[in-house]
Amino acid sequence: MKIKKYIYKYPILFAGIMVLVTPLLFSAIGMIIIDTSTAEPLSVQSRSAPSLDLPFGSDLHGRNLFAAIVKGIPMTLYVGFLAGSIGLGIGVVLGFLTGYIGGRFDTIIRIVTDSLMTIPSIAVMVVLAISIEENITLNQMALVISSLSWMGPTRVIRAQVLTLKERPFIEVCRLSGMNTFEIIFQEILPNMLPFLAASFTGAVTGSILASVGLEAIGLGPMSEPTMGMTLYWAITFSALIAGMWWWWLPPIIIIVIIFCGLYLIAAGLDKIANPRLEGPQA
Amino acid sequence: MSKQILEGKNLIKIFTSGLFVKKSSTLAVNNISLNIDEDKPIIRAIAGESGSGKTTLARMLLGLIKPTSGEIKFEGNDIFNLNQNQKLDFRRRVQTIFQDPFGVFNPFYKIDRVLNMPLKKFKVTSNKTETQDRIEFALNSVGLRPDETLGRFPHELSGGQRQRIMVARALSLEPKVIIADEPVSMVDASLRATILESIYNFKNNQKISVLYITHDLTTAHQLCDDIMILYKGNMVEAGPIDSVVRKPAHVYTKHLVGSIPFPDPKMKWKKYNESEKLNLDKPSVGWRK
Amino acid sequence: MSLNFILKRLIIFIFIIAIASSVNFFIPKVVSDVDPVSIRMMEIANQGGVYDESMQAVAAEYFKQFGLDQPLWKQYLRHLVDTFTFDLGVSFTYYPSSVLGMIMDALPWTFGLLIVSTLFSFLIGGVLGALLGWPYAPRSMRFTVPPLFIFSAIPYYMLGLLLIYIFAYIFKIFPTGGGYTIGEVFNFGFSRMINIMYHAILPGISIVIAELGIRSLVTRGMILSLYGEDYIKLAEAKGLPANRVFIWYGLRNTLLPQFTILALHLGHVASGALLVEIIFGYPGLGALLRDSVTAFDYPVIYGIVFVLILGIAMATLVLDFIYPKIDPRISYED
Repeated sequence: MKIKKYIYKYPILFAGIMVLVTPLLFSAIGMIIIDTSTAEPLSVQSRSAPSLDLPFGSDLHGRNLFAAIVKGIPMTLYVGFLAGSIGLGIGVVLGFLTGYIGGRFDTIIRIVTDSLMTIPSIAVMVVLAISIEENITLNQMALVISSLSWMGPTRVIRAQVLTLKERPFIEVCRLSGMNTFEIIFQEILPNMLPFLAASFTGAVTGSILASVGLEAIGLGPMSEPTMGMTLYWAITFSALIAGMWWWWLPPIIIIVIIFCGLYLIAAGLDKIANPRLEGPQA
Repeated sequence: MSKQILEGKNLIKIFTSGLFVKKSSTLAVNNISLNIDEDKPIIRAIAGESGSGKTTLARMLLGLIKPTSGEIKFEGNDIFNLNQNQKLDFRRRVQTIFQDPFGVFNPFYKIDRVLNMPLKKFKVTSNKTETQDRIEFALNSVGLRPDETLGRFPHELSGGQRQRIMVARALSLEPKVIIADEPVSMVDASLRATILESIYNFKNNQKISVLYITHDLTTAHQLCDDIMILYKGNMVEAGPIDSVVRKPAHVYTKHLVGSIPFPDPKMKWKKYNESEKLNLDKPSVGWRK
Repeated sequence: MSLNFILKRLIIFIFIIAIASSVNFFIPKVVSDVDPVSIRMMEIANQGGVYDESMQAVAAEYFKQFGLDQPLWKQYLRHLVDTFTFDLGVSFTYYPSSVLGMIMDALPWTFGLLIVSTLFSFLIGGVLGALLGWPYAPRSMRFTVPPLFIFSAIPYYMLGLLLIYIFAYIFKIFPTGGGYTIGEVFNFGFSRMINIMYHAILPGISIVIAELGIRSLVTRGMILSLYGEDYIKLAEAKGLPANRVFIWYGLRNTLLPQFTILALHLGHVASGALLVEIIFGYPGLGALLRDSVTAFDYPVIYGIVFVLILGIAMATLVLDFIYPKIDPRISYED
């Protein structure tokens, strides 16, 4: 089994994947077991502590919190992955182009990127989100988040491209008649795959963080039970003081698990991206 | 006057650094000219120490960088003003062998790619069988066995094998000129002879001219017909290899030749006369007969 | 530091401010076709049931101030001018409180919290991390690494929630929120200050602990790579006591990179602090933001966003200028 060999070689990475997949599995099983429509308010007896019927109890408005969590886990992950993908996508295009082509184009984009990075993203995200008339949707939130998360990947990818660009084999390719795009996508890109994966993980982590932050301020999708929204309701309705620990604790635990998983994956990918280079055999 | 394949006239290259304001500039190549005739294939050494400008010169001749002034022509046309077809022809007929046998391969792909790509790009062959035959022939002529080299990744082969693959690559394209930038300096001594022999055969068998860039006068003397000596971007002396090496005219050449260790225990290293401060910046003595 | 550099830096600063201001102006116009401000005002008017005079006054004031019927570029110019003169408009929900006034009320709280917690996490994180990386530190320190790792993964304000629950609900040591105990009368400044500090501890701690995680891990990494340097070996060979080598040679050299990290993370730290305030009901910018978002009080929102960007840009500017003073290797000479 080839897979086993890879698991032994990169234990951290696989540990991370396992950790990340756990909440998803939890959610998948949950969706089969129970009826997720009880995640809506006024479904069950409100303010109940956890019991056999209601494993996570219910909140002030009669939501079955178990259902809410089960429904919300994929949503939180979805926003993170979508925003991360868009952010990475933009980063890839810009990073590759500026890194390889260089010149004035590179200078301009670099100044823009660096300036934007100093702006606290939450500020702009708030403005964007608040300008959206109706209740913001998951997709819109992902767009808002990705609009400010592309700078990091761009910078980092550009740096990698700059390094790779100097390698002799690139010159050989130019001398073999390949054009710029072919070189970027066929020669440079494949060498950056682990690196891109690591960037992606970082982008996803940042996006989930941003989404939870936005939701906490009150700018999240009001009718979707994402982790951040559940927390928002809990805070708004003083779950803390009311002693309803089952309302705010599960989302936190899930988020922490997700982040731990992502961090482990990032650490594992880092090992792949920077392997001990085997020197040229004599 | 026979047709010139490659011609460089009064080439000058100045590197400047600094973003908006030119901070510092380096004169890398100062007014060098050379040409290679079609029907007189030669192996010419371009020798000099590090920083003498030989690599810069090579890269200009390959069209990788633009000279600050001067012209480079391939078969009469300015290489920076070619149309698509001419450009492909130029790239095919003027080949190169780089110094580093490891960095020239993209570690992601098998070495076959490096052999296939130019054949495809320059439209040398039209189908897979032709390509395969050509590659196998080229590999055999450098002393490699196709079944042992094809299908492997760069890190699975030795430095000597990799360098020979690059030579095979150059051969397979049937070039007119090969610019070899220190092709054996990173190869084991035992394999040097094989590679040098291939280069020697370029001229005699395939009628390909070679520009052999090196800092090692010994191999140059073995291999080459004539030689150009570069110092600080200037060509200080050039001519038939025997004359230049045995009877150097320019101060720098003398210095260079004098530093070749002689395998005679009785001969001592030349001692510098401290009073005679070496002024190597003497004007060029040009081409010798 | 050449004049050239100072000028260049200031220009970038002004540029960022202009962008910040433009962001507030253009994004609402671009994202939704109708001016959200007017819509909001109509909503408020409807809520009131009667379109009474104060709403008319607000409407008139608004139209006059922003001249919505004027061409776009004129509006924009006016907006920029307003921004640079710090005229941020008036709030909707608390008409006619000026936005600037509301922000200025909240700002000291946020500022205080941020500065104190950043300072603490800088110190504690720096020292802790250094200790973790120093080979001669006590073995027991190794055990703190996993918890630190977990802490760095938790967003600040969730940590805050946990802390509130444990220390304010279960063990009623600290108050659950607020900047100061409401309803109490203070005799003089000192007891008021103690009260404020008492309320600030929990929020401060949550920021510190969360920051601590990352900071100490990073410092640890730095010390580890530092330790192999020759000058450390020389110091030890000279016979200097271990403590001295640690503090003066090891720790001191981590200060500068830490500074850099701080400068880069300012935005992130500020955002985190805002969220912490929301949890704790701490009367700083975070709470203000949350309330104004809930109430769709646009002028306040834009005002806060602008002040945020301004604050961080200023802080970055200051740090940029301080840098060469601290690190003698850097000079911005041309």
